[in-house]
This record gives sequence, structure tokens and C-alpha cells, in this order.
Amino acid sequence: MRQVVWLVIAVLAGCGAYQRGEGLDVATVPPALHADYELFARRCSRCHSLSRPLNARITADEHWAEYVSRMRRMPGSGISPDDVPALLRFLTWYSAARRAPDGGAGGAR
Amino acid sequence: MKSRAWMLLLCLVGVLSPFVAQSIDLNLAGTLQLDYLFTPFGRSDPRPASHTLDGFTEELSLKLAIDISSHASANVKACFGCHGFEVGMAYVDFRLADEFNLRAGRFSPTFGEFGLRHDPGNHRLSDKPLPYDMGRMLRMMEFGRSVLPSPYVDNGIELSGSHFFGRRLQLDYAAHAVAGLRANTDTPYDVDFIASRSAAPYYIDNNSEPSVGGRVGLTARLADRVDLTVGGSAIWGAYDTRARMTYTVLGADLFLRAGRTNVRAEYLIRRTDMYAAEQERFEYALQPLADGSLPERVFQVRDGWYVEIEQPVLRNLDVILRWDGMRRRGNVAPGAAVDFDAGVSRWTLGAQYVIERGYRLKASAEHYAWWGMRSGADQDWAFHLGAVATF
Repeated sequence: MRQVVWLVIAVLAGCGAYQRGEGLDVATVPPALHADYELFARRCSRCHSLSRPLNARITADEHWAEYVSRMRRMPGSGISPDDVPALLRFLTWYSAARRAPDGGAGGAR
Repeated sequence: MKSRAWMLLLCLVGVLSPFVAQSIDLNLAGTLQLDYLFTPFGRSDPRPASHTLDGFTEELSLKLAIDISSHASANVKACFGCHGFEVGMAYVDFRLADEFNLRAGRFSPTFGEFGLRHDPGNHRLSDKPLPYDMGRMLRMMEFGRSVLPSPYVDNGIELSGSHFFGRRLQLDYAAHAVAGLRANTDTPYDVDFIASRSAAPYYIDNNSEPSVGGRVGLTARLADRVDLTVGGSAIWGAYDTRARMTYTVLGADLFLRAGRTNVRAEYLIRRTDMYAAEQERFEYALQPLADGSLPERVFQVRDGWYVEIEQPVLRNLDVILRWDGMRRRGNVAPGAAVDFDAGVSRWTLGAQYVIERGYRLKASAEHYAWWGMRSGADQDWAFHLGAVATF
């Protein structure tokens, strides 16, 4: 039993030492967009992981607008029309940061 | 089979290519999941592999979403899994308003909460809940299939919509008419899910009568970090070749998100007619009608449930606890592997570890407890180890 406990502790420590989650490290997001990112992380992880939108090869703002609009209409999305501007603000910044040679100021890649 | 699937996919791409040429947006997404199911059957209990899909199973899906305009979009999804190549989606959406969206083609008819996340990349455990299981539950050949194997894909149309009352309340509805579940006989005991997913005899309605159903859901933002969704679903249709044997599936679902904790719960029940008429077809005595003759049909009831908690413990590690189960009640064919009343209760403890964004490991242990089974052990263990990539 004691071996199992040590094994669990070792696994947790290993996981904790290497933390690359599905989302972004909030510290890499500009402070003005923290609330927008929190909203994005909350709304867009209900049905799928955050890697879906964050890894999507979308660059155009119009494309993001259609994408978010389609997701908003999914049953139980919880994404109200009022949420859309904040989501698009974050995604527009993210796309631009991702295209930047250094992955953006926040290392958004 | 393989070449036919590729031909079908090429045809779909060809049909949609004019839309692609003038589309605003095109998004390709995919998921690959490889799972290993280990079932420690003892030497004294050498159950065959046909009792479950143990060993390696792979699920691959490639989805192309095309936003043709702000009112129209098309989706095509090709899947490769235990059934070989399949088209999991091939439909066009036309939206007049948020409250009015018309979908036509091949799609998953809206039912329940689990089906809304119809992709292994969206689930934290390798295994589906028992009422939605499609082949991974132990002793599936003895117990029979689940209430509504997922993903349930069918041809037809669906009308759906969503309306927000301010920022805090969202009402959804969906109503569909599809070909329906089927059995390739007019004297069935149950829905034949293999026939429902088989090309023989063709991907067409076997009885020319559509199945109808839908779902209504209400989502409330109870607080800044607390959301609650409740929903109710139903499906009704005939499944035999003469359209005389019917099935009714009802479901209730709940999803609660408080902080980073997700709680999901669903209950499903399916009432399915069985062709009767002859006592020899059944083990237990049939109840004669007033005129002394035997009824043309009797029914069986299969219901199932799950309650699941997902709790992130680190930024890249989630722990999942699930309790699910399934029950079957009804007359059985002579020599059946189950009693009139049989069932299973299962506990699952699992974890999901994010290696890199889009790449995850899933591990879980499952404990099965059976009742009403006429052979085999009362309890079983199963272990899953899987890797999933979303791209």
C-alpha cells in the first residue's frame, strides 16, 4: 500500500513538474485581455478541449467571427451574443501573436 | 470496403467543392485515439475476445467544416474505427436566424448531452458511459447492446434553434426526422445496431417510415463561474422491415459546471417491441389475449444511467470518477444468456494527462458488477490506457 502511495506522489510530482495544459498560461496574455481569455477558456472548453480553437489554422477576423457564431449556436454553448465581442478580441490578438516570429509577446504559440 | 469508402469520400468532396471554391471559411480538424483495453480474464474463465473489443482499438476522424456564408455551412466527417471507414457527417446547415436552423444530410440526431460532444477527443475517458456504449463494455454479446450506441448517425433532416434570454438563460430545441434504427427482419427481438451501421442491405430506410425525435435544453448561468444545463430527449420509430415493431427512447440529462469542476448525469430508457405470436420464441410464458390467442408483440425495457465528475487537480491533469449502469427487463429467447431481469453497475476511476496542447494520455480502471447473468463471474475488472491527439 505504501508503495502505491509513493507511486501516486511520484506521478503527481512528475505531472506538476511539466505543466503544459490545453490552454494558455494566463501570464502570457496581455493584462487588458485577461477577462476576455477567462471567458474564452470557460465558454470554449465546455464541449471540447481548448486545443481545438487554439490549434485551429484560422487567421482572418471574418473567419473567427463565423467560427464563433457557429459555436455559439451549439446547444447549451452558453455563449450569448453579448459574449462574442470579448471572445473575438481575444482570438484576434491570439491569431496575431501566433503569427508573430517569436510567438507574440506572450509566447502564445 | 476500403476503396468504396474512399470513393464515397471523394464524391462528397466533389459535391462540396463548388461551395469550397466560394466559401468564406474552411476548417479542417481531426482526432486520433488509440486505446488499449486490458481484461484480466482468468484461466478458469476463458471468455472469448468476442465478449468485448479488448486489445487495441483506434478511432480516427477527419472533419471539414465550411462556412459558405453567414447563413449556410456544410460539414463532412470521415471516420475510421472498429467498423472500418464510415461517413460520420455529411450535411448542410441553412440558418435563417439563431432560432431557426435547418440541417439536411447525414448527421447525429440530437439526443442527450453526451452526443453533443460526439468525438473521442472531447471526452476525458476512453470509454463511453454504458447507456451509450458501442462495443467496449465487457460481455456485450451476452448482455446485448446499450440503450442508444453512440455516435448514432443517420440520414434525415433536423430543425433546431437556440434563443438567449439576456446573458444568463439559453433555450435550445431540436426536432428531427431520420431513417431510424433498424433490424433486417420482420420478426425481431431487438434493434440490430450492426444492421443500422451496415451497408448491407444498403444505407437506406428498411421500412420507409421515418423515426422522429428531438431534444429541449435549458442552460442557466447561475453565477459567474457556475452553469447548469438540463435537457430532455425523445426518439420514436419503427425498426422492423414491416414497420410494426416500434421503439421509444427517452432521456434526461444534466450538466453542472462549478468553477473547474464538471458534473454530468444522464438517464436513458428504451422500450422496444419484440415479435411474439409463438410461445416457442420465448422462455417465459406469454400472457394470452382475451380471445386466447398470443399477442403479436411484447416488449423489453433497457435503461441506463451515468453520473460523472471531472476534476482538474493540476493544470495538465484531470481526475474523473464515473458511476454508470444498465438494466434489461423483459422476456428472453430460449437459451439466452440473461434472466428476465439483468443488469450491470460499473465504477470507473480515470485520469487524463496533457502532454502538449492537443496531445493527451488517458488511463482508467473499471469495476463491473453483474446481476441476472446465467454464466460467468459476478464481477469483472477492465483497464484502459489510451493516447489521443486533436489536430
